[in-house]
Amino acid sequence: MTIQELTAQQKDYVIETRRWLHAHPELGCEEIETTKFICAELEKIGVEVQTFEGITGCVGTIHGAKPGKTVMLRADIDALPMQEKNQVPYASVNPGVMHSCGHDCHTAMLLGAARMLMQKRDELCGTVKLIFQMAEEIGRKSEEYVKRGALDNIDAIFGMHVWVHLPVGKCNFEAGPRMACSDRFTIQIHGEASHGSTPFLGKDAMVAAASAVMAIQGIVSRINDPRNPLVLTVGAMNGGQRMNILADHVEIVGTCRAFDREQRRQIPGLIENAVKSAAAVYGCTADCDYYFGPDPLINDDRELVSLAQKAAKEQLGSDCLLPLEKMTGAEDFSVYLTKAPGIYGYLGVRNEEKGITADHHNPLFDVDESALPEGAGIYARFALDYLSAHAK
Amino acid sequence: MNFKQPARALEAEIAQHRHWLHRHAELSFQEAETTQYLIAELEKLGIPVTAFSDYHGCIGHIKGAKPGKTVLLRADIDALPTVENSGVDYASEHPGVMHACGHDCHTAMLLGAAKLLKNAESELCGNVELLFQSAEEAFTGSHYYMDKGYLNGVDAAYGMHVWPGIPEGSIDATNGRRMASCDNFVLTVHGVSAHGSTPQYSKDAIVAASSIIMNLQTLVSRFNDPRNPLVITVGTIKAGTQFNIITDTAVMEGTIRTFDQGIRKTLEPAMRKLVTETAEALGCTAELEYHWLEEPVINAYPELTEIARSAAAKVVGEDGLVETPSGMGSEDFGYIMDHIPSVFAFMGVENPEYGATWSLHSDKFRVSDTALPIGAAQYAQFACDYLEHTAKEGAQ
Repeated sequence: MTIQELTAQQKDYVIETRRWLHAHPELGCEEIETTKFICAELEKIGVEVQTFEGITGCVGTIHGAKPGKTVMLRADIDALPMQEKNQVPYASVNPGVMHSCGHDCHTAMLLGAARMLMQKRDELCGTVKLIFQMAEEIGRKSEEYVKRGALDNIDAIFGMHVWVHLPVGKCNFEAGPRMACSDRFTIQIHGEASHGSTPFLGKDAMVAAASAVMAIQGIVSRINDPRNPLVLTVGAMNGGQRMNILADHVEIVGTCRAFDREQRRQIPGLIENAVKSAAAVYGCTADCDYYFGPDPLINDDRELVSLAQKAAKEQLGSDCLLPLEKMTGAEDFSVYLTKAPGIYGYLGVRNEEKGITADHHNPLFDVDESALPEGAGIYARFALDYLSAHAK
Repeated sequence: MNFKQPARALEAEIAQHRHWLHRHAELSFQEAETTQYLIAELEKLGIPVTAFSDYHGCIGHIKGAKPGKTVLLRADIDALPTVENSGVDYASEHPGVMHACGHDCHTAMLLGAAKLLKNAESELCGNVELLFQSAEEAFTGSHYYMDKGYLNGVDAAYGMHVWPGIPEGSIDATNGRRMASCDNFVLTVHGVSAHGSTPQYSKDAIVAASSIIMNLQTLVSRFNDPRNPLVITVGTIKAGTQFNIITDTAVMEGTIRTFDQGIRKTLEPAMRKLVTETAEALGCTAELEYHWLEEPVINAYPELTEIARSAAAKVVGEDGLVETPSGMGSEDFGYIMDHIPSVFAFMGVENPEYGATWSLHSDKFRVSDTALPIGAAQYAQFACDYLEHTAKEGAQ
């Protein structure tokens, strides 16, 4: 059977599977039932399944009939802590938890692709690994699989996100930076308390902190190369005890978004320098803590971009590719790219006529399900095409 | 008349008053037991008392035998929300409430002065009003008595605070700026929240708040007359919950201290303009709640200051007269001073032998009973000398 025929054959399976997953969402690191479900679905069709000590999620392996490289297809499986507001038969049955980012779709599509690829084993020149990853929403939990060796000996990796800002039937696979890093910085400004009426007897952490926030703006406007997008956001700033006591401590917590790997490496030092200097003016000190979250997601392997574009066009038609601006959100798929070359794309699920327009992470988020069997087809095609292109 | 020896003879009695008051510490606006105690003690002395059905504190009236002016002596009576840790055997019996600012001393000293002046009634050239005032720590406790007209007809007023920075046995009655005005503010910045990665969709309340805090510094450095001490402190900020959400609200609280009434009055509009326009420049809006609280304490009547100084010389000797620099703290006696010619003095209570070295508002704050007759004598001496002085002036 062709992939086109297999897509038609697996259509109902993919949609039903997605609905079951949607109704049974689980939070990141807690995807126990989801993992059990996925393992059972894979084992049912004879896919070898590997689970890992201490984490949820799993990796399925499909051995092709012919020798060749190993390609990995990735889906994330976790949901978000929010109450679903959709009135649909497959709405979440777990109060306060909802698949509002579409990871249920990713999982269902990859399970559909597994079924297609099992039927295409004779043509497969190598190995396909299917990684069902936990906790994408949490930070850089994808690293847990890297640590456990799941990414060893992988030659290429493919990932895809359903995207409500692209119409159904369209998709995006584009070279260059796609998503930003998401790093967190925590700054403690330490001063010395005194009565609010005698600032000269203390060291005011409040003015030092305000000055530090202003100094951070200068990193973006004066130090950063304006051609490299950079976001430095202070999301929380809290300190002081009373209106008439000089604050001896203020905490500043923020996030950094950048697309350029080299630029990003300089940010912790720049923040530390700006903040410590600003604090020093007022006799205060600053402790800076910088946590590297998901790396920037950059499609910098041209060959993989072309292969993905070709798979998409074969599946959805020659005019299916749309441009999409890079985004300052983050995606921990980027961590895998430190182990293997990869490609990450977006699959359109928007349908204005059906009123499917609610944004990701919105309690009314939904997708046009007709995109999902096609997505499964794109997953399968990419694996087949990649392995064929690299067959000896 | 010299009240030094008669006051010394009352040491045990004044200490007894003080211990009772210290044990029964009550918070601002809640001084019910204290007020009952004061009324009873004044009545025991045969001093008529005005009390208030809707307010705490009271006023005792002593009528001198000879005609003359009316002088007001003021003591504040409230305590602080502090768990006492002073180690004295008359510690507060009210959990979490402590006389950590010495108002128990002021009250006991004024009760002592009441007895001294009552005994000297026949020689007094005029009247003495004894104001036991509620809620000094609440910034505005003194307003009631003034605003309701209970202080009408008072020609001059005297207030005093025990002071740990001055040795016991010394008194400071110095001309000019003594304590600062106190105005508090709450500043709220409203913006628009967005995901931390998309500042273009936000109006960042934290950057606006930081910008406002920095711009407030220019009120001190560029707006103020540098000869006028001015402090603007932002004491607290609460803004945001999480690193990756741009917050839409920042709330700051702070205090403003200064001495110059003219500058103080121009400061509020200047601050309002600066805050509003800084917020606007960043696409946010700002609300400024500005509370005018306490007037500065300025000894602006050299003649009254001189009477207080010479009274102090009789009580503690010339060697006991000290001059300390003005402080940036505040005192709601400023409100009385703003309406009635007044003088405010500081009475030393530092006594390392007794362990009386802790600062005001400390949970370990202590004052030795031996200091109290000095204060009682000083209150009485000022009243008597003022009445005598003004009677002589009238006669001339």
